[in-house]
Amino acid sequence: MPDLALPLLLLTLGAGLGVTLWRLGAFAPRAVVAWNRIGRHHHLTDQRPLEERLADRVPSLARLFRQTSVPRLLAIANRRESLNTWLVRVAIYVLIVGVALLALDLLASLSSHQLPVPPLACLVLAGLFVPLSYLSLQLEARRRQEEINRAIAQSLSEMAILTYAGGYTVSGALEFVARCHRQRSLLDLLVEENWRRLVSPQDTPLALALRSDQLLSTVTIYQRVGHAYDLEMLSELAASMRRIAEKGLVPSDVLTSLAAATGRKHIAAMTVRMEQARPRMALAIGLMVLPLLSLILYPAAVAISDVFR
Amino acid sequence: MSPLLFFTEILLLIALGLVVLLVASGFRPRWERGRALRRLEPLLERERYVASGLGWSLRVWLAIRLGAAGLGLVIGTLIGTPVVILGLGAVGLFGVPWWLKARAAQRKLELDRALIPFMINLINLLSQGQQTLNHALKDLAQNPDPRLAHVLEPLKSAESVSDALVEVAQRGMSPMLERVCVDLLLSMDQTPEAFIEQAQKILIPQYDQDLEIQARNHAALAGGRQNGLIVIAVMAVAFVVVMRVETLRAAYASLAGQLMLLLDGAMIVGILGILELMTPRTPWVRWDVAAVREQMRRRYA
Repeated sequence: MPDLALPLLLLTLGAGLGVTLWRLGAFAPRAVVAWNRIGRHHHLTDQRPLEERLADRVPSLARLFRQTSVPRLLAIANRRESLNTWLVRVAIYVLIVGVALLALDLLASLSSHQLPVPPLACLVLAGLFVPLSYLSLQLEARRRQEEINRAIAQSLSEMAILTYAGGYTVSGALEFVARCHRQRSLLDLLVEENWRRLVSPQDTPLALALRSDQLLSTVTIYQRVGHAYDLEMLSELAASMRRIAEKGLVPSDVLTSLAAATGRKHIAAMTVRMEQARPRMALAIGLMVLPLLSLILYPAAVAISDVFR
Repeated sequence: MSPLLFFTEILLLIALGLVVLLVASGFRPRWERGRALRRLEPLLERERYVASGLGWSLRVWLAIRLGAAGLGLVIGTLIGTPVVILGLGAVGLFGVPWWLKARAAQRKLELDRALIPFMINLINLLSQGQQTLNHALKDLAQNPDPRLAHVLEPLKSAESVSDALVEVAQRGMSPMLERVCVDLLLSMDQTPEAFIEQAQKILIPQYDQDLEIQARNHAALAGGRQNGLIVIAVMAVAFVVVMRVETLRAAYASLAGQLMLLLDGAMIVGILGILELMTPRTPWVRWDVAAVREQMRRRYA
């Protein structure tokens, strides 16, 4: 059979070159290129990246892009590094692991004069570090979201006390309690304007109607932060604050009812989790068969192998 | 030169180049000395939590853990085989504390349960209209519920109730007790009438809810522990039965047999780990009560 590797490689390279030239506009008519240039200059054409334009047309794709965006996860996890730094770091780890595995492979081959594992397998194994790093980042981001949600949910009564008799506003009370938690996640988000990493004053269609120098209310900021960081409790708090402002409700009453509702929701979720955990635990206990069988069958296996020997 | 070695060298050079890029892009590794200690802190905190649940100091608790491990090793040495020595050492180091943790959790739950009657008594004292919150707290500490006697000790002869509340929270190491102390600190400057209204409207219902969550947490943990005990008991019985039969025991006398026993032990530990992971629990927000006191003082300063 003829070797198809070279034609396939040439075909792939050719296709890649074709796509690149098409994206650069090499096949576009001169009039279109000229219009694009004029449109770009006068902000008449849509200059957003491809994924954003695609996301506009397909909402599910938008959700997927949002959930999997590494810069967003880095911001939620409160990591200081940029996307490029993260990519370079992961690449370094992959290369170091790859080199270490190849070196081990080489050392193992010294005695047998043959590589025990193909070098490609070592590189593939090292490449697994990329999805692992991504999963770990996702996990870190989710953990921080849970921490912040919990910090707000379990401080609502204290905020109610502060607004009841301490003369604090809801946002002032939130900052007060954030300073008094041992976990600093909520404080890290609120202070030093860390939330601006994902939320900018002009980032949503809501802001289009506002002047660029217009100040945003705390409620709007909380709502946007809650949306950008997927923080359910912050969004609920913002909604309650809006009700307080618009209907003139008493903050401590609103916070107390929010605390009660959150607690009830939490207890219901706990019940569900406990019921779900029951069959899984039974499965884990079922795994006990493995050591039990191994303990009993090992002597039998040894005896049988002795007989055949 | 071997092509593989050459390839490895190229990869290494690329990795080094990327390290330079990483440093140039502003990445700074955080290898401070304090970092290792900070990472150890949650572990120590967990040990402190169990020790306080049992009513012991951290030092006593760690001594008991090490003592149990030592005892396990000694008994293992008397019996003989390396696997039994290691196994009994591990039982001493991890098994005994695991068993004692159940007792600590139960005591913590009892302490949390006593907090609601404590708050109701506080409201009753204040309702008589002759005492401030400070005096009522000191009064209650003179004749406390036995479950709270140890933690309320600092309030008995306290000059500053705020400082005493910080110490109470440190002694109890219970999230719910910390919350009660924080709420009391935040309410220090209120009139008794305002505190009574606030306690009845906000605090007592909240503590009821907290207690329910704590009780469910405890039930889930107790269920997980019970499952673990079933696994351990069945495996222990099987082990004793196998070791009492001469022909079966002989198979485990060899090196391969000892390794097999180690593998079985690892599997049991793995199953216990899976059970622990699957036990649903609700983490609590931990309050820095001293920070609350400082914030309150700063507010007036």
